[in-house]
Formats: sequence, C-alpha cells, structure tokens
Amino acid sequence: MNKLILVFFCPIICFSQTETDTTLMLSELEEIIISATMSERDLDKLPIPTTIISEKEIMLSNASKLYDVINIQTGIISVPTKTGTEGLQMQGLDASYITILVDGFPIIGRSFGSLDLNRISVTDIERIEVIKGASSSLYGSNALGGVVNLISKKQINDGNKINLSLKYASHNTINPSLIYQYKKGSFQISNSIDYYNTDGYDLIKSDLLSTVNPYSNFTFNTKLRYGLSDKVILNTNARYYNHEQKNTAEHESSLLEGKTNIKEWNLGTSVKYLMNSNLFHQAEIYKTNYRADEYLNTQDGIIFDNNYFDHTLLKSEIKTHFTYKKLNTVLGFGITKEDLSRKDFSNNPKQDLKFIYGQLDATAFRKFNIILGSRYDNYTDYTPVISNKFAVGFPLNKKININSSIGTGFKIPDFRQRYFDFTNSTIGYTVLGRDVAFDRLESMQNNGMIQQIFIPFSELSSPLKSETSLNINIGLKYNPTKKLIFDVNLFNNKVQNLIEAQLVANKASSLLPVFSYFNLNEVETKGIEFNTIYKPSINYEIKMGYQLLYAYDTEIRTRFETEDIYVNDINGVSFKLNKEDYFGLFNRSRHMGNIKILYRINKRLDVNSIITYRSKYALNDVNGNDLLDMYDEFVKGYTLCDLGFTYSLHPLRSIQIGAKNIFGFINPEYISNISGRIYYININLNLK
Amino acid sequence: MKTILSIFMVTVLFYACDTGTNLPAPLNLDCNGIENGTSLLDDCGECQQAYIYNPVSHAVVLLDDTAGIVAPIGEMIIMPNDPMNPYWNNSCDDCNGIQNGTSMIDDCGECQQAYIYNPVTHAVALLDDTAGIVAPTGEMIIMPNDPMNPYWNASCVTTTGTVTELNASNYTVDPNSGTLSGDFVKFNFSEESIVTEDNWDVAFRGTTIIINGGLSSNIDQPTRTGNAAVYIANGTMSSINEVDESSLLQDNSTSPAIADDFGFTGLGWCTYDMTSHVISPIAGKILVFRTHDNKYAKLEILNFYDNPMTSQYGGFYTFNYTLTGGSTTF
Repeated sequence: MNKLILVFFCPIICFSQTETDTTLMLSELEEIIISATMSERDLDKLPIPTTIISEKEIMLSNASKLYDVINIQTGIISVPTKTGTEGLQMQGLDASYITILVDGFPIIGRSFGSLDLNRISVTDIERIEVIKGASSSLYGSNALGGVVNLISKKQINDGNKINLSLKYASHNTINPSLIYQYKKGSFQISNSIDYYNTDGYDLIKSDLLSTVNPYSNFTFNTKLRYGLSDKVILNTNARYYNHEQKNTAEHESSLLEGKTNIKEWNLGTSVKYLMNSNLFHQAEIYKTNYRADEYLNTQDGIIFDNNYFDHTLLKSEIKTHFTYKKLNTVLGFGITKEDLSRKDFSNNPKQDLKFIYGQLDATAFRKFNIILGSRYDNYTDYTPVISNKFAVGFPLNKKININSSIGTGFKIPDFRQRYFDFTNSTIGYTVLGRDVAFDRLESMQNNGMIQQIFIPFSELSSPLKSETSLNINIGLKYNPTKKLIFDVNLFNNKVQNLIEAQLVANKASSLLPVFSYFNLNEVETKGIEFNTIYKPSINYEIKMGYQLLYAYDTEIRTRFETEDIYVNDINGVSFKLNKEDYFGLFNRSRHMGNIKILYRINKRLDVNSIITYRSKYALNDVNGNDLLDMYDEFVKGYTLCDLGFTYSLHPLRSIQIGAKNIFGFINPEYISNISGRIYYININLNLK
Repeated sequence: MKTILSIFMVTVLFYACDTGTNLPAPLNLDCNGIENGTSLLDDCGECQQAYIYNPVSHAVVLLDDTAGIVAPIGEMIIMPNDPMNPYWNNSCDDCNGIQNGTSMIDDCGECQQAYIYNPVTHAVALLDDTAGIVAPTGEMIIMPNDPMNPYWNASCVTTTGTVTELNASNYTVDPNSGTLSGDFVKFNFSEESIVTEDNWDVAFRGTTIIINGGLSSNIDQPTRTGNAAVYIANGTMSSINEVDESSLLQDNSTSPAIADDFGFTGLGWCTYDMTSHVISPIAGKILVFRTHDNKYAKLEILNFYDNPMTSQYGGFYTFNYTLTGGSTTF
C-alpha cells in the first residue's frame, strides 16, 4: 500500500568514497546518558526508564525543532495548548510537569505551564536524553513527570569543521543553518546559526483566521570550552533566540491583526576543577531571560489588545563528583532567583530558591546497581520540600535485566496561580491568584461588592501547597540475541494537590463569579510501555514501540462509585452512567504506537519510514457533566506515515528527500497541528 | 210456615253479620312491611330501620319493631329518625356530605364541586348546592362534570409535552456590570403556551428562570400573582416520580429560587464553558414545579440554542415536561 516514490540523483561531482559513511551505519555505539545521574552512564545498564534520541534519528526524521522529533517517540506526544503552542505529554502527565534543559541549563517562559517545543532548534544537537518519571531528586520543581535534556554537538578532532544545512519543505518553509566548530588543543569553540521561515497554513478556509500564521525565527548559539590548565576547564554557553509571527484574532466578525515577538537569551558559564581522576568540582552560573510581546489592532489601526511577559531566571550551582571504586557520588547545592513581570499581575513577583541535593550510584555485589538520590528545595514563603528517588537494577541472567525505581516529585505553584489579578473584559468574571485573593476579596466585601460567599475567605489566607507525586516504574530489558532488544516498563504516577481554579464568591448585582486557586485534585496515570529494536543485518533495522495508558481523576472515579452521575444524550435527555463509562482525563489516548524502519538499499542510498498511531481522545466535555465519559465527542484515532530517502554522495555530503504524512491525513475541526502532506528536501554539507 | 220464615230471618241476620267480616280490618304496615313496625321512610325515600347499638363494639342489630324490645345493658335502642342515626337521610348526600348537593365524584375518585366562575377575573367560588343559586351578571355556574371544568378528572391525568425553541432570546448583557436586561417570556404549563396575562407559571429571560410565586428580586421582573414554587431534583425524567414538597422554594427578594448564575457556579440548571462560550444544561437536573394554580410539573431542559443557530447568545429553550392535575405523583 505504500506508494514508493523513487528518485535517483546523479551526482555532479563524484568523489571516490574512502570509507563507508559512518553516520548512516546501523551499528550502535554504546549509548551514553548523562542526565539520569548527572554523570556518564551506559544506557543499557541504567535502572531508570529513559529514551535517547540520537543525531541519526534527528536527521532521519527531518527535524528542525524539538517538536518534530519528540512526537515520534514511544509514550511521548505533543499537545497543542490554548495559545497554539505545542507542549509535551509523557506517561500521561502534561507539559507543566516536564523540565526541558539545553546542555543541563533550564529553559523558561511557560505559557499556561507549557514550554513551546517549536522554540528549540535541534540542528546542532548531538542527542536528546529523555528521563521518564519523577526526577525532582536531581532537578527540583517541574521535573515531576520527567526531564528532556538536549546535548549539543562537541567537536572531538582538532581543526575546523563547517557544516551547512539547507532545508526546504511545503508551506514555503525554509531552514538554512550553519555550524562552525574549531578545536585546537584544549580550546574549542562552536558557533551555530539557524534561520527558520514559514508561511504557515490554513486548514479551514471558510473563516477569517489561519490555523498557523506565517512566522520566522532565528537561533544563534556559541559554545566555548577552554582548558585553562590540566585541571581547570572553563565552559561558556550563550544562546539567543528571536521569533516573530503575525498575530490574528476575530472579534465581532471583523479581523484583528498584529504581531507576536519573542526574544530569549541564555548565558551560562561553568568552571570545572579536576582535583584528581576520582574527584572534580564544578561551579556554574546561568542567567536566562524570556520576553514575549504581542498586540492586536482593529482594521482601523486602533489598539485592541496588547500583552507582555518578561521572565528572568538566575541560577548558580556548585557540584562535586566523587568516584570511589564502584561508587559514584554527586553532591550539589545552589540558589535560583526568578522574577516575572507581565500584564494582569498586581505586582511583579519574585521567587527565590535554595537547594541542596545528593546522589549515590553504586554497584553492589558486582550485579546490583543502586541509585539513591535526595534533594531539598527551600522556596521563600513555602514549606521546604524533600524529593527522593531510589532505583535498583540487576541482571536476572546474561540476557535479562530487571529495573525498578520509585521516586517522589513536586511542582511549586506557578506565578499565575499565585499572583493573577484578571477580570475578563467581555463577560466580567474575575480570577485571582492565591496570594492576592484574600486582600482583594476582603476589600471587595467591605465595599459591598460581594453577593454570596461559597468558600470562606479564611481558606485563602494560607498559601497554595506544591503539587506532589509518587512515581513507580518496574521494567525488564531482554536481550536474547545481539540483534534484538526488548524493553518493557510498567509505570504509575499518583499526583496530589493539583491546583485548580474554583468559585469563591459572586459579585453583587451582576452575580458574576470570582475564582481563585485551590489544591483540589488527585490524578493517577498508569500503563505499560514496550520498545523493541531489531537489527537482523547491517542493512536493515526496525524499531517498534507501544504505550498503553490509563489516566484519570481519582475524585471523579470515587464519585462514580458513591453517587449517581448523569449525562445528556444527543437530544439533551439525561440518563444515568455506569462506573465503566468514565473514560479518564482529556487529551490522553489509551493507545499510542510507532514503527520505525531503516533499510539500506545500497552503500549510498537509504530509505526510512516512520509510522505513528494514536487512538481516540477527547478535548472537552460536550454532554453536560463536566467529565470525560464514553458518550462524549472523541477525536478519532489516526495513523501518520513518513517516508524519506537519504542519498550520500560522500561522507561529507548528503541529500534527503521525502514526505511526512504521505497519505495527507488532516482533521481540520479538531487537530490544528497536522497540516496534511509535507514534502521536503534537505542538503547537508560538511566542509573543512 | 212459621219455621221457614224464622230460618229465613236467622239466615238473613247471619248473612248481615257475615258481610262485616268479609272485608278485612285495615293493618298498620311500616315501609319495611312490618305490621306496626318502627321503620320509617326518610327524606331521601329510603326505609330506615331502628336498631340496637352497642357504643363499645359499634355493633348494629337491625330491628323490625322496637315494641317489646328491651336493650341489653350498655346498649341502646336507636329509632330510625334519631339524630344519632347516621343512616337517616345519608343516601341522598353527595360526595361532599351535602344532602341532595350537586357535587360529583370524577373518574379519578375526587369529589368535584360546582362553582361560580368569573371569566374576567378567573375567580372561582365553590358551591355546595346549585339549587336556588343564581349567578351574578357576567358570571356563570359551572357544574362539576361540565367539559369546561378543568378540575374534572384533572388529578389523575398527566399531560406530557415538549416545547421547542421557546424564544427567550431577547436579552442583552451589560459588559461592565454583567447585568441582564430584556423582556421575560411567560409560560403556562396547562395551556402549553406563552401567555401575556397573570396566569403564568414560569418565565424565561436568557439563562434566568423565575416562577410565579414569592417575591421579585429585580424591578424588571413581572409581578408574582400565583403560588408557584420550584426546586431542582437530581435524576432523570423517568426517575423523578414524586414531588418532594419540603424542597419547594419560591423566588425571594434577593434571588430567584433557581440560581441565576449564567452557568458559572453549577448550582443552577446550566453550565457555561469559558473556552467555547456555550451554555449547556447540566445532565441529570430535573426542575420540579408547583404551578401558579397548584398543579405540579417536572421539566427537563434539553437545549438553549435554536437550530440552525441564529444567535450565539442562545435563549431558545427546548424542554420536555409532564404536568399533573394537582396530584404530587407523576
């Protein structure tokens, strides 16, 4: 059924190949992972569930941004947010519970808790490490669901290296990028510049708005590494990102137009002092700023709405690594200072943190690998939180490894949940952050503006608690032959004290509501993830992955057992639901799978195909009971197929051509991030 | 010759005497057929007997004739027309207890009275007996089983109906204060239609639902002239079978009985989705009413919009309802 598109390229310049192209070789090097333990570890012996996305995979999936490559990993999906940005979902937990790092430094600037995956360019990334499950014992708040760490390319050999990449795809998308690396002795510098421009697309032609407006952005990166002496290494990373996009909205049948502009910079410096082969210290300081501005004007040029968001983070940390025989120890402590300035906040809040963490990574009895980690986070005005993790892995026999881990994670309430002070201009309801609610409501009441109180104001005088979780993973890695790896992991996350908005009071005469935030909910996500890698020969590789997920709100589940829950049928007539009719949380698919095939046709030509499947899910409640039941409207499950050909003329040059979503699947009503078939062509040149 | 004449004379004398005894002497029979009996005919034309009555056991022993009867100790002889005798004249009492009255029992088993009806004020004046009554000018006497009498058979008859897209969409929202303004659309269950007079049961405006009972909470609401009340029950139309009278509430001066919250609190009949801006009826909510004229109804709102949609602000009520004649059972 696959329509194979065969295109043959005649090389204009023919260089004799001196060696087989190692970048496309199928043999796997021993994969190294850093993020799980903050030290280099072999992936296959690590007892913590992780996924590594290699440079090869980034290339084969024609990825320009993190969004393009993370979407095709087992158990990971990107979900569009209300503002149109793309956020991650892992083990059923959404984007506000996942930390994204670039070379270990955190990315900030979350919209409704989620970081836009389209912001992060992957053209100069060597590999992406994804740690699944509670990782707060190393990374603190927001790492409750996991961590994604993008590791950038490091030059190994002396000399110059220039890499030029040109990409062109449907919707007039162009993405040229240039990487320049130079190494001499202990001095190394790497620069990259990446430019991206697209026309966007429109799935619903009949309305005024486009689904995605045209935009352009560029990313500039510099990394410097200098060995001041045998024992002292200096590292500096700087990154600058600038994004501009047309902004449109509809108001009373007329079009509003404007622009969105995002500027982000990160600067990090670290000094590493190697005392001896077993001990080193590292001190690092990092500052990042994310600023977003947007406005909308009416057709007459009058300002309708404007908005700004300015977030700064300063982090400084000191780490010590100590190795003794089979025991690796990491100890670290540091501070962070954050401040935010934005529209609809009553003041510019600040947040300070002091943290200290430690981790032991040991091999006991030559077989058992035990990892034990703990971190203490002390945010000002909050009760300190301690997060722990315990992981153990051991080989059952030469072919089977058993892994299990248990950890706790947390997420501090974000600035919006604490300081928001917003009244909707069209309807008139008010949302107050927890830290400002008590005073605002008291003064409203003294001025006679409150009609009825549903929750006593005294409940708002205490601060919000952090959301906390308990995560358990049990897995097995089975390696029956050199050609086959089989990996299964059972996971369970219980998240408590989830922060939700709730009605506090209503205003006199208008009866409009006033909301504030409370620690209300409890959710549970659990499931199984399977992964298989099969390499029958050097010409052929097939990877398969599948995740089964159950994600639900614990309180709703209990309500189904204790109360009568009703639903409206198609005509609006109510009927009673059974316990089994509760589907779970919104935006989660029960089944997700992928198949990735790589086939070497000859020494120069490879073909690869990626097939992803997602089962049905629902976006919101439509039948009058505020929860997701079997009778709600679901987005149908769908399959996407990508097909690509890579032709390498030379170890230094390759051309890729292909199509993503070759069958042109779209769902304009419900899915805004799938635009139909996308053709692409990439040219990659390595110059010296 | 002399003997024949004397025999003739004696025979004539005998014959003369015999004539008197050929006609029987008149007997005193009571209505029960008993000679000199004590039964009497009451005013209804029923023959009532005397009886011995035991006030302790309430036993009644009928007597044909009280003559010569002595009541046992503790019991008493009751004569037919004794005021204590409940049977005297009771057979021609109507269901209302009025002798020869005009009330009748309808098919539901309810005793319905005749009444004087004023078609202008709709006032109803119940009558025990229409005999001798003359209706004032402009008013009329309605007999219980008159087809015009809505109470006849109403208590055990329920009507079900569906009202589609009742247009209560003529309202506006002031964006600054959030207050609604516009006309209330009044509805009457018995007539299954919009009414303009005081005979309304429930009125709609936008998402606000008020009833014709209690007090007004805003000067732009119609005046309350009836005895309506309402409450929201949890269940389905088929599961709500009884009116829980203790839950019935009337509108008061602070707020209507049905929470008027635009769907924000979840305490009313609808919810408002802030992303899609859609008002939807909450599943499993049945509105139970007492109408302005003391009948009962249950109602389930199915939709707030018309189809095809002419206004994103809605206000077109489609609902299923069931109305009783006065019984609290559906």
